[in-house]
Amino acid sequence: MPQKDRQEEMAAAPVIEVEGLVKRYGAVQALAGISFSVAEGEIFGFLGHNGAGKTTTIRVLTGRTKPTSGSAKVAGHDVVSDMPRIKPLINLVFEDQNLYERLTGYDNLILFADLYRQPHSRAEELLSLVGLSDAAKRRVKTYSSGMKQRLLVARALINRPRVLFLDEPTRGLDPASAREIRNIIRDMSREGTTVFLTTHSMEEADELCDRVAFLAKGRIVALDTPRELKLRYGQRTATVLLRDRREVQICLDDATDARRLAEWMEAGEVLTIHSNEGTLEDVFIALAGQPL
Amino acid sequence: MVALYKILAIFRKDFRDALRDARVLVALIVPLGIGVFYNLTFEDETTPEATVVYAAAEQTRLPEVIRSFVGDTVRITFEQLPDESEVRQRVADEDADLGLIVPAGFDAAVAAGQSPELIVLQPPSASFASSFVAAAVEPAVRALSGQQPPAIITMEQVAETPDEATVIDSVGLRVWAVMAATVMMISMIAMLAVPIVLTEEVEKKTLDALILIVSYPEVIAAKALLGVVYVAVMVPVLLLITRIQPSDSAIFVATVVLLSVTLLGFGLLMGGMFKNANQLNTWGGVFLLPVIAPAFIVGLGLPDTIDRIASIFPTGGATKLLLDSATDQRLFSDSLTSFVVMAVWGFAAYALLVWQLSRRQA
Repeated sequence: MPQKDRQEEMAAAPVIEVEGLVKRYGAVQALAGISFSVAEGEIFGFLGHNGAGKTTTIRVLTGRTKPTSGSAKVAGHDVVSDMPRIKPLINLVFEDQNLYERLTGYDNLILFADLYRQPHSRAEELLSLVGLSDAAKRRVKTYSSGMKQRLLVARALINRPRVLFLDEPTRGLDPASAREIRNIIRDMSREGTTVFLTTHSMEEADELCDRVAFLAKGRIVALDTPRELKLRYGQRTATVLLRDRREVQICLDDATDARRLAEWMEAGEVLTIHSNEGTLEDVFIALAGQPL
Repeated sequence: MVALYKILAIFRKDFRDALRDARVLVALIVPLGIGVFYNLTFEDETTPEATVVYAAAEQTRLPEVIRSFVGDTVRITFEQLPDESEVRQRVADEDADLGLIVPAGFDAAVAAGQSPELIVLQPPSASFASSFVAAAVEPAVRALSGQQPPAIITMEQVAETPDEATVIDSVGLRVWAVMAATVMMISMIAMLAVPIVLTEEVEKKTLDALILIVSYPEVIAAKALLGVVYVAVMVPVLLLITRIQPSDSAIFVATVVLLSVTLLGFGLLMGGMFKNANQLNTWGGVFLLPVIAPAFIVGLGLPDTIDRIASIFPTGGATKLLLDSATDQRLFSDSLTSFVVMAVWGFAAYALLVWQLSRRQA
């Protein structure tokens, strides 16, 4: 779907709406009045340092802690007063691999199939989806970290959630496992599931997310599409490699540099040009002062 | 709103999962083992027994008549030996409680009023049973001669005064031990096995996954159900293995249910206090000791103060009720108080549990 159309659709149908959300744990303020909305089917990235408030936001939105003030709605229901109606519509891939390790992978899913009133065939379907059919009858404690993570994802999909929260879903995984998880997330989004993703991986956020929010000290310091953020906060420069093997940095907003580039082009001196569009990490450093 | 299907789903998972946890298995098997051990080690027969050996040249009705005079007071076993010397040897060796040398034609001679000689042999240290049977010989011989006894004498062994008597004297060591092991079993299930299951959910953060779709009260109810089912399976197994059948099943069942529910309240409370299951497994003993101890104290004739303190614990009251229900005798006069004691502790446990849950939800 073209990004413009997608953004228009998102604006029309927010499935998560957060307004002035504050959460304090005693004297510690975890969230300092954040506001944002996430549209139906969007992959929304929530980025920030440890302790920035990412997990607290998920805890509030999934009903596991109550906000100190402000409001939050998921699928149109208030997270404080209407959580029982939200619960069947959401699910979460936890940061920790919180599985029943003495049970088999299949039994782990069956428990949640029963809790969400899903047929047991759904467990088999999901084990197949995440490539664990062969290991279904093995106890989870014999699984590798990547297999456990895939089982966590399967568990989170058991109720066909309208909103799927993922808290660092690829942390500690090898590149191949991480890619598998990302593919599943992308597929879920294509099928209309709204994805709320927290991650430390800027590449992952850039690759997956329709929009990202940068969180620092309980506040959202930037929120936009990855491309807009990179354009807004990245450097408008390019690196030109000339025939004599010289690398020259040129500024795209500078008229002198523009003339120099045109001359090199005319003279056939240019071998390659690489734009120095900023990465999300550059943006984050620019906003939060230090890398993730 | 509590949903039964959610409670049952968690219960089914726990029932399968917890039995694979060595700590839970220990909590189930140790009291069972103790009950079975006591059962095999101790006899609970309180009726005195006597073995009477005799030598008789001809058939005699004397043993049969002696048995009728002794009645149920002494459980008597007669053993006929080939000759007098063997009878004397067995009695001298104290292998028999009494010996009789019955001459030939004894029954006919007695009936004819000929006063034949009957030799009664007592061992060097005669027991109550030996003396009792010996005393029954003369009236038995009179009966053989056709004399009507001038009076029917009933002998009873007077029980010790209440201050000195213990429940073990009344119900026997085996029954007492099995009832105490029953209380111990319920305590270990409620205050060790179930809290371990709950604490492990917190420790491994699987509780977070459950809470996404169930409520805290549903999780707590599922764990309580697990405890109740463990008790409902393990207590009958203990009774079956030890072949003890309570005389008053209603009191027995009511006591087991009330004690289980009460202790489960405290167990679930404990489950929310510890950070991990190993910590609970280590320190749980500190809580379990004062809970289990009263079961092995009440009714044992210890000083009044100790007995009263033991009785204010739910396990103390429950032990009294279980002992009462195990026999036909009424050993304790405060059954109602014992039920009230358990109910009050139970109310306190669940009030604290609700408070703990409300804090957790906040």
